[in-house]
Amino acid sequence: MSPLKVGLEFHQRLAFRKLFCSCPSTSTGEASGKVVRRLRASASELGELDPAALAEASRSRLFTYHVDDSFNCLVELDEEPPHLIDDEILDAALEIALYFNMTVVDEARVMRKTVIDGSNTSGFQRTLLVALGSDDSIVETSEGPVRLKSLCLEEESAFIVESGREAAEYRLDRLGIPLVEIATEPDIKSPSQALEAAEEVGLALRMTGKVMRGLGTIRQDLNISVEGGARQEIKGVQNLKLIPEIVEREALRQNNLLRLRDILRARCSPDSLTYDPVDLTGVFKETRSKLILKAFSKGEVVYGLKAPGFKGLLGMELQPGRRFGTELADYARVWGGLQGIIHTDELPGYGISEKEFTEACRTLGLSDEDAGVIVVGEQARVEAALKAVYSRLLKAFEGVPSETRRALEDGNTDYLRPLPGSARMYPETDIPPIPVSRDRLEKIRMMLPKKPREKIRELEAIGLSSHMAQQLVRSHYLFVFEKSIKASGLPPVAIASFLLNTLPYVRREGGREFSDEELITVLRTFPSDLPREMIQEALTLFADKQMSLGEVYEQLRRRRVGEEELRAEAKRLVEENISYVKEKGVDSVKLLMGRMMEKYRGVAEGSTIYRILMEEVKRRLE
Amino acid sequence: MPYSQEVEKILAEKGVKPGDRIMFKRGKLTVEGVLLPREEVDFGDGDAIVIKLDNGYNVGFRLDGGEIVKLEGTVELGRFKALEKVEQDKTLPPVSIFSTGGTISARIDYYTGGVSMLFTPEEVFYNVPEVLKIAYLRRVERLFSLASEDMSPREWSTMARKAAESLAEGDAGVLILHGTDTMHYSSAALSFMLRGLNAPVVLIGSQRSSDRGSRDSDMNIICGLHAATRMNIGEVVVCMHAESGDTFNNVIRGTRVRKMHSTRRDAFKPVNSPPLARVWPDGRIEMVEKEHRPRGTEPPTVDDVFEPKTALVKAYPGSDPEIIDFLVDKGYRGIVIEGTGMGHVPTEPLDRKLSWVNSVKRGLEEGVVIAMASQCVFGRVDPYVYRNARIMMKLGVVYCEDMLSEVAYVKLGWLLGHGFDNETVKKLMLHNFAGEISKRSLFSTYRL
Repeated sequence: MSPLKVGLEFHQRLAFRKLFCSCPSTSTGEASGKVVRRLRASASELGELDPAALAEASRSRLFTYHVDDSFNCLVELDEEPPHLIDDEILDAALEIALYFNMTVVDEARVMRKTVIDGSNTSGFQRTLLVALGSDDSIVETSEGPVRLKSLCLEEESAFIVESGREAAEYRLDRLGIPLVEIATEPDIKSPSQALEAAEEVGLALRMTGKVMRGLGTIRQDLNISVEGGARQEIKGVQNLKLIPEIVEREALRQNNLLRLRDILRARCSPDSLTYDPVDLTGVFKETRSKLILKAFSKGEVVYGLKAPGFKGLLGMELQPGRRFGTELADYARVWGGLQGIIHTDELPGYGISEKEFTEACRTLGLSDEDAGVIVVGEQARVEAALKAVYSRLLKAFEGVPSETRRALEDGNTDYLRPLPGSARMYPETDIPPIPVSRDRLEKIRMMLPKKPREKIRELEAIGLSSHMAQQLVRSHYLFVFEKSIKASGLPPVAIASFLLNTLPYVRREGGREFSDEELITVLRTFPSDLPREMIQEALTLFADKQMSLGEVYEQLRRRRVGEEELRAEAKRLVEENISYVKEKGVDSVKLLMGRMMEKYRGVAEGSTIYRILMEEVKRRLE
Repeated sequence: MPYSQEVEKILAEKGVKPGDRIMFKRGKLTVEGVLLPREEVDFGDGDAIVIKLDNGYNVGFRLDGGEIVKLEGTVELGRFKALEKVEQDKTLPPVSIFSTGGTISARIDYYTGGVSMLFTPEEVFYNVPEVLKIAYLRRVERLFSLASEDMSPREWSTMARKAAESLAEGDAGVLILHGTDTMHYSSAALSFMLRGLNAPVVLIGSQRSSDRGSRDSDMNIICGLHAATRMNIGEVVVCMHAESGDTFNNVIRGTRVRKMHSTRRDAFKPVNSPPLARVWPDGRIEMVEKEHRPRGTEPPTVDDVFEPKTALVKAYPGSDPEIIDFLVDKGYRGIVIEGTGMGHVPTEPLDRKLSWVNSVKRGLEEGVVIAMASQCVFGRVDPYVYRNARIMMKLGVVYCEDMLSEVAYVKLGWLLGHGFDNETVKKLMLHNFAGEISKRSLFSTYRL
């Protein structure tokens, strides 16, 4: 395999209101209205149109936006200019930049990045470059340092509800949520290093306590190339664990495309490939292929394109389960809106008879070394699809085309659109430049969060086990923990245990997510006379039932089981199991403890139950 | 904020000018890109040089002892690529397009973000290729490059003459691209100044800049051209988005339209009247108002006089009538008061100095025509319900029925420009010239 180069791009949502208006970032209510729009291709910088923008424009889709006053205002609807960025949001981005030892710009300028897939109502995404990296801004991994390249503050795109060839629907609740985009240099050389670097950056981001947590709040893009290949931008990896697999499979794909190129070049030159679509409708006049019959019933057509020298190559596997033919099918799907293609390397098949196959090959004029691509659909779509397939075939002679690709769940990727040029960016004229003063940076620098290793030592010093300290630092709850222990009557270990063990358990059981504020409020005020097992219930009462803290604790106190009742039950249990107790001695407490907990979980402290049970067993044995 | 003198000096020493490719080194920082100019009215830090990095971002860095190195290569800023000539279908209905400025005529320099005015037929075709199938753009001309608020009666007159000229040359209609803020003043002025109109004169604008994919200008141009070429009306109209979505446009009579929102696409609403028609981008036209002036055969005449000494004044709690005295002293010949409610001004305030009675009385006595419209925007003034309006009416103030205050201002200036005696002007203020006034207030027309 050729040497590998990988760069990562993180998109992490910040836990603030929206970046360019005062809408909340957390509202997820029902949409109450719809606004229908079309986006038009924009004459970009120097009057040139960007290829990625053109790709979308040529589709001229209809966009429906789901709106509601609870989560969007006129800004997200592109009906009002953006408001100025809140100081505290920019401060959070500056803090992250300084934490990574990056050089902050002296004057930030908001830019518009052309995006016309409808995910931004305006047709662009607003973004500003906040800091640049240098040799000093690195993330350490066991396979060597990875340099950071840049940090941008940008607005999140709208959430896609439904997407089709003619139309797409989006919700505007997500549009405008602030996120930081952190890009690394392509210093990563292996799949495992990619994962490690991603984990390290994620950890550092969480250390700042300024980031959102939960599904979808962080996602990675990967830039991957192998020597002799080309840079691919792979979008939207939400699961970190998938990164090594994606890197591995992409390297494989590029290497296979290079191999395919060499075979192809040995067979013929790119000149032999021409765009001459052939009408094959006549060939299938008496077909029994259900696929084609169904198409004919809708008045659709069958066309073919000769792919000289491609025999056997369309069926060549590039990634597990994806062939070169699949790549062509991607192009037909994206540009022509077709389901896919049929190619001669997989025929006969699809109910197409041997005779039709031979006749199709003859009509296309295929020799022994040639392959053919067949597409079925509406005339206009068929043409668009074949043109795209032709362009992809041509690129096979050069090797690996640069593309924007989408991460699939199995670690493969498929084609999304061409790589955007830098022409997509121009100034946001509605927002003045934002000077960043040295004073401001110094103030933030003084308050920078500790590095993970330091923090772990600190946590160990207040009594957390080394394992718990590491877990806590890697979790999303460090901020909650630190805020809580300051004023809480609970010991730090109890708070850490609740955050690291109980909360994930509650979530697994289908319980809801609690906000940082809810967690902190309850952990800080939880009375020492109540059993810790009641924390979870206190949270639920406080967060869901809208009770005041006083009411919550009052109710819990009423439900708490006192020592007298516990002792009576312990006595009863010991008598009930007296032969077992006598046989096992003190060890019998284990079994009895289980029985007691079944009854008193959440209403009495485990340690208290244990103490009483132990006392009763010992007393009886004496 | 432009570059500071210190930065200018260093740039001059290095022989570097905006557009040049440079490298900037300071400490561990090294960046490369194109040096950009700073705008005069820009905010920010004049000590920071602005660089467009190769990844497209613009960033500012203070020099602070850093070094600027001039590299190979220069970008010509603010230059627009000449567009190739486009063949037109001359069998389509001929129209003239006049650009007067505003957002719809503005083009952004993608490098600097600076805005400049530019307008050629090719630009229309390039941005809105649909146009080629709707009309033959016989004439495309930039009259001026004025922001909406910089317009004056002089420009109304130019627009009226150009429109009349084009219609005399046989155009099926005229399209005027205009800034949105005062488009409804211009549409009213043209409605009065173009007498005997034989075809639609359509004003359009844009509420979103044309650099963005979501711009409303393209649909407004498309719908505006459908209206100009195919509607059977001989009136001045405004044709803008009817909804926030890109669904259809309203065609609204030039004297019955007002910008009702500072930023939304559907800012233009008909007032005290239904829209004349609705137009869809695919060319569908649905007539709504049955009473309208149809197309004719004779081109219009231009009657573009205007008395500049005409003013529009708003009454409000605590408003001092001195403003009327001032205008009278300055020789104003006509004043439209935008009164409260049904056309009221203070007449019996506790602080007697704030009563408008004496000032209005004096103005009328000195030969100023004073007219009353409502700041409610919707509805009709009525001088008989409340005492303070009766006082004004008795003094001789003209109550303008359901006429918009802005329209009343334009109409009064136009009438006064003719040199009629005051009684004639007062009478004509209530005459219906261009659908600006009506006797019936319809239930369905109050819709926001």
